[in-house]
Parts: sequence; structure tokens; C-alpha cells
Amino acid sequence: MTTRKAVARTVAPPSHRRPPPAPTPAAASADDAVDRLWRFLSSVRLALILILATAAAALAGALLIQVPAGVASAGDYAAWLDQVRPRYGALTNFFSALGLFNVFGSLWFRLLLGLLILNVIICTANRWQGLWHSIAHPRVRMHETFFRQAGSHAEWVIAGEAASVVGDRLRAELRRQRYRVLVERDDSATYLYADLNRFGKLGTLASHASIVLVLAAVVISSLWGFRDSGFVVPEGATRSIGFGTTLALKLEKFADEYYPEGPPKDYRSDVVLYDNGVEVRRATIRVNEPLEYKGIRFHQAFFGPAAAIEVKDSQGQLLLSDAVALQWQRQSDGRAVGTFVIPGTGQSAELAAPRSGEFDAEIPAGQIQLQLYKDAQAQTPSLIVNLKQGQWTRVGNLDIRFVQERQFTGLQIVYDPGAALIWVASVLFVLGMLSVFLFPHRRVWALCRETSNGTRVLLASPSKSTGLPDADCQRLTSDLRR
Amino acid sequence: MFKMSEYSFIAAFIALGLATLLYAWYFVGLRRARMLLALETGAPGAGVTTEATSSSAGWYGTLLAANAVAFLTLSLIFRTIATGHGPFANMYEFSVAFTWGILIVYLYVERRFQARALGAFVTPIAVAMMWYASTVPSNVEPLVPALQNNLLLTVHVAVAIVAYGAFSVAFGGAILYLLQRDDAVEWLPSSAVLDELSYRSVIIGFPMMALVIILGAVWADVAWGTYWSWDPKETASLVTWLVYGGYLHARSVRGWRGIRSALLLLLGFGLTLLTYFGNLFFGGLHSYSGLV
Repeated sequence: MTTRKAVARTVAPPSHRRPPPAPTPAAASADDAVDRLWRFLSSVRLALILILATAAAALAGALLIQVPAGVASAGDYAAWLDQVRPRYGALTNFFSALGLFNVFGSLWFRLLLGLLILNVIICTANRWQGLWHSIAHPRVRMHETFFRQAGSHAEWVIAGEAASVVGDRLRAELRRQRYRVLVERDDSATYLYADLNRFGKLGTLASHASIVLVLAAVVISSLWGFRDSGFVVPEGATRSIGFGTTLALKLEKFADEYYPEGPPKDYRSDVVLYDNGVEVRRATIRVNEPLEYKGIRFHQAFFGPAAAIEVKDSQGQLLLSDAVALQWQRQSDGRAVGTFVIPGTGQSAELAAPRSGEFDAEIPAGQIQLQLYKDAQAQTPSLIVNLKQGQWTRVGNLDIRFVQERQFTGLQIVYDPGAALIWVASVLFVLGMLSVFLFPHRRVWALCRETSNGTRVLLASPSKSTGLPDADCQRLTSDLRR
Repeated sequence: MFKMSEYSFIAAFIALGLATLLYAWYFVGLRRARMLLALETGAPGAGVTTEATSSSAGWYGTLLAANAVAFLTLSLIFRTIATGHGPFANMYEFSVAFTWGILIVYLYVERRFQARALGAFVTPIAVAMMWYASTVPSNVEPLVPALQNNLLLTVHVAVAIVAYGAFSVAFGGAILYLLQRDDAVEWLPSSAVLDELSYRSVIIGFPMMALVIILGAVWADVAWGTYWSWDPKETASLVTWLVYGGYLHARSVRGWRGIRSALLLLLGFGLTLLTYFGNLFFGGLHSYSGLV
């Protein structure tokens, strides 16, 4: 639509329109259908519909609670739905059927975004030629009806001067006001076109291109990037970060600090990063201060209790000396739990500590509860014992010691090769917008036609806000009348 | 410094309240004067006198609104000095800053378009915002770890405040536009001027809102390692931005110019308020309103 309007404004020269190649009727109707489809896909009306539809979908996603990422199976989803049912009542199933509890991960939302981007690409492809034409080769000669119908126009008569002389004066004055002026003449008339900030409107191209760049960035990140939102390391332990890297991270100390009033003040993890076993970084990670190494970033995300554990077999050989993060919460009793495997035995164990800060009748202070499982498939523990801090305890044919209470840190590990492109796109978008809005393309046409007693000057712009500013216009008028 | 900040707040509140009354008087007077003139009832001079008093009411309204901005600026400066961070860390500070944003954009638009009638619709929003600020706790809370980034906190929220202010002014313009759509009301600015004025406000607000979202993404990337996580507040701000983007496109679509575009501005302002007050009920990453 804008294209058509812009063409109507500048009245593009006929050469710009392709003559139809005299088709056969059948081909004509097919051509017509393709043409109409293209026009629809490249229309601003479609853009508007898609923008508003995306907004509506995203709004639903913001207002309704969204399914957490961990809920994957149908059973989990049904259970989750029952949790939110009290809140949405009879509408719950309706919202669920519409997919409104999982807007941002859904295929239809991605399709909507894809269509929007496609529309942006087609619109831009369709418009840029016309845009460039109106910058590089604007039409100078306009018919008198244009001057009468334009949104903003003026007319006056200069007595006793020839059209060419008046035209030259107009040109000189407009040039002095830093307009670009193009002039064409014929026997009895001089035509002028003047404009300012003609490159400003290229900003729309930049802004729209930046939206496509954002999509490209997201695709790049999802293809070549990786993310671990729950990388857990207990104090004193070292963990490999995986994803095909040779990196491992050791947590030396985690600290959480609070204001006297209660709210959190600071979370920090003192870490050492190893690449192929060689120390490459030693840093303190805080909420606003991630550690970065070769484009991979480590962000402070969460924290919790951990326990240092040692395990010996019946011969007294040390099987395990590690720290276990109690990173889960058991649904039945709310205790903080963590699991570990005992190497060489096939057995695994679960450690449980009281819910933080609460009295637990089964687990006294300074103790931790251990449940031993025969193998990975076992549903029920073979043994349940309490371990006292600092003491060796016999558990089946093993000796296990709860060495010390510790803390673990939860980090988010991100490798996001598309992010840089996002920032490029952002800068491009803002600069594009600013160039359009701060430097609006101002255009004015003039027609000086000789009459019996002098020259009649017609001056016009498509609208007041895209034409001469008042001050410029007054200067021009006073100059002409002089 | 806190006392100074509070005194400035009270002074600004009084100035703004008076300005609102004067704008209302101006608006009503404008109407009566023009109607009297139009109907040619009463003595020939009567209408003109009313118009003269009401137009001076409008002039004083502008003066007081400018004073309110000055006092608000002082209040924000004193508070910044007292707390050591930008005045953007809880609902009280946001609201004072929001009022400031509305007034600063309003005064610019009023000056540029000579459309004082707009004041009768925009200043009440500013008053409501200030009244809201006076009802929420104004005590200084220490900054939680995520907010401890002085530069980004200041710029992110400062830009947001101006964007919100611009959208509020566009809203006032849209209401007047809907009253004036057929240019039937001769004592109001013409519909073309009102349309242009709302548009000007949006082209201030729209890039600003883009910047808010971008700065938010930069910050989220630094603090949490994700530039976008569909957190309710960031989604709401994206929705708001999309609707104003829709408005900018709607102005060039046949059938959408005029009334429908104005309706989009009403919708956009509703979403602006939703985004603004979202901290209170959205939960998620932005739930540090200082009201919990």
C-alpha cells in the first residue's frame, strides 16, 4: 500500500512500469493470481495483521502462566494442568486446547514469526527499487493538477519577470537553504524539484533488515550454540562442562551475603577453569559479572547446600572422595536431596538434608540421611542410615563418611555465537529509526509558468510535515516577492 | 537529602495539581467562548472576555506544569544523591520518574503544536501517576544482586520513562482525535494537527521503547546469560512495542488511517500501563517492585 501511495506521490515515470506481454487468457488468470498473491504478501496490510496477531499471541503468553521447560511428558503436562486449574477454572481446557499455555515454544507461534519475517523480506525486496528511484531519479516535472491536489500548496504571481528568471531565483534560494535542486525547462515553464535528507529514508531499509538479522542470529545460536542452565558444582569439586569442550570448572568457594533487612546483597562463586587439565582462569563470578573464556560464558544462576562425602570398601580402599550437590527438592517431604554413584560397586546413593532452616525429627542437626540403592533400576532403598558429620559409618559392606557441609553453585553456561549479530541488528535498528525520524525526507516541487503579465509560481508538497518547514517557506516567499 | 527530595515531591505535586485544574478551566473556557461566539448570544464582547481569561488560565497551566517538571527533577536528583543509584529501583521511584517523563514530552509537544487543549487530557494521567507514587512506600530498599548495575539500571529505566511518557501524550492526542474526528468541534485543534501530534509522540516513543528492550536484553545477557527468555515483563514490553509498530504501519494502510489508528494508540497505552504495573503481578525476573 505504501508503495502504491509513494508512487502516487512521486508519480513514477511510465518507464518504471512493466508493460504486460499480451498473454493468453489462461496464462493471464494464472499470472493474475500470482500477481495478487505477491501483492498480498508484500502488502503493509498483511504486515499490520501479522504484527497485531503476534502481539496478541505474545500477550496471551505474558498473561497466562506458561508450562515450565521441565514438563515434557503428557502425564507431567496433565499434572501441571491440574495445578493451574484452580486459577483458570473452566477456561483451563479451552486455553490448553488453543496452546496458550505454551505459546513461545509452539510451532504456530514460530510460524507466525516466520511469516512476519517473510513479509518483511518481501516488502523490502518490493520497495527498495522504488525507494532508490525516488532518491536518485525523482520526477521533476509535475502536472498542474498535482499542485492543486497536493496536501500542502501555495501559489503566487511575480509580475514582470520571465519564468526562467524566477526559476533561477527559486533555485538559488533553495540551494542556499541546502536543498538539492533539480531543474527542467521547456518553452514557457521552469520545473523545480528540491529535497532535503534524501538518504534518511534508507533507514527504513536498515530497520527492517535488522529484524531479519535478529532471526538469522537466533538460527545461528540454535544451530551452533549451546546452553546449560543447570550446571552444578559443589565446593571443592571439579566438573567437566561437556558439549565437546575440554573445559572443566572447579568451585573453590561460594558465598551468599544478605542486607541486615533480609534481602540478598551478593552471590559469588570463586572458581578455577581448566582447559585440558591446565588452569586457564581464576575468577569470581557474580550476578552481573560472568566469567568469559573463548566465547563461553559462565553466569551465576542459583545455589544450594552440598555435602562432602568419602566412601571406602571393606578392604579400606578409598572408592570416592567428592562433594555432592543437594540440588533437588524431594516432593514428599521437601528435603534437599542429591544423588551419587559409588564407583566399582554398581550401587548408588541419595543424600537428604532437612528443608533449609527447619527442624527435622528424623535428621538431627549435624547429620545427613543416606539411602543406598542396589543398582540404578532399584525403586526402593536397600538401606537407610543417618551419617554424623566427621564420622565413618558402616553401611552394608561400605564405610561412608559425611565429611562436611558445603554449598554448591548453579551456573548457566552459554555459548551463543549469534549474540554478536543481535547487537549489530540492534544498533542498525536504532540508527535506522533515528535517521528516518530525525531526518525526514522533505520534498517540494515548483512550477513557474509564464503568463501575460509575468510568472505564476506553483509550489507543492505531498503534506505539510514532509514539505518545506514554515521558516524555510517564509524565507522563500519573502525572497521571491522582493 | 531525603527531606529535600520529599519537599520537592510535594511542591511538584501541588504545582501539577494546580496545572491540571488550570488546563481543565482552559479547556472548558475554550469551549464556552467558542460556543458563545458561534451562537452570537449575549453581548458581543462576552465571549472574547471568557476566552481571554481561559487562555491566560492555559498559559498559567503551562507555567505550573513546567514548575512541576523542575521540582520533579530536583526531587529525583536529591533522591539519587541520597541513595547512590539512579532513582529507578522501586515503584515509588519509577512512578515519580514516569510522571516526569509524561510532563517533559507533553511540554515539548504542547510547545511544538500549540495545542494546549491536550493538557486537559495528559496532566490528569500525570496526576494519577504522582498520586500513585504517594501511596506506595518510598523507603529505600537495598539493591538485590540482579539490579546492581548502575549504568544499565539508570539508562534502561530512564529511556523507558521517556518512552512511556511519549505514549501517554499520544494517548491524550488520540482521545482528542476521536472527539474531533470529523473536524466538527471548531474549538479544538484540527484532526490533522491531533493526528500529527500523536504521530510525533509515537516516533519519539517507538525508538525509545526499542532501546529499552535492547538495553534490557543486553542487561539480561550480562546478568543471566540469556538476552531473551520470554519473561512476562519483557514480553509485555515487546507487545507494547509491536502495537506501536503496528500503529506506524497502520497510518499507511487504507482504512486504518484515522479512527483505527487512534484506537491502536488507546490499546498501546493500555499495554504501556500493563507493562508498567507488570512488576506487581507478573512475577518472573522483574519481580522486584519493593512492594512484596
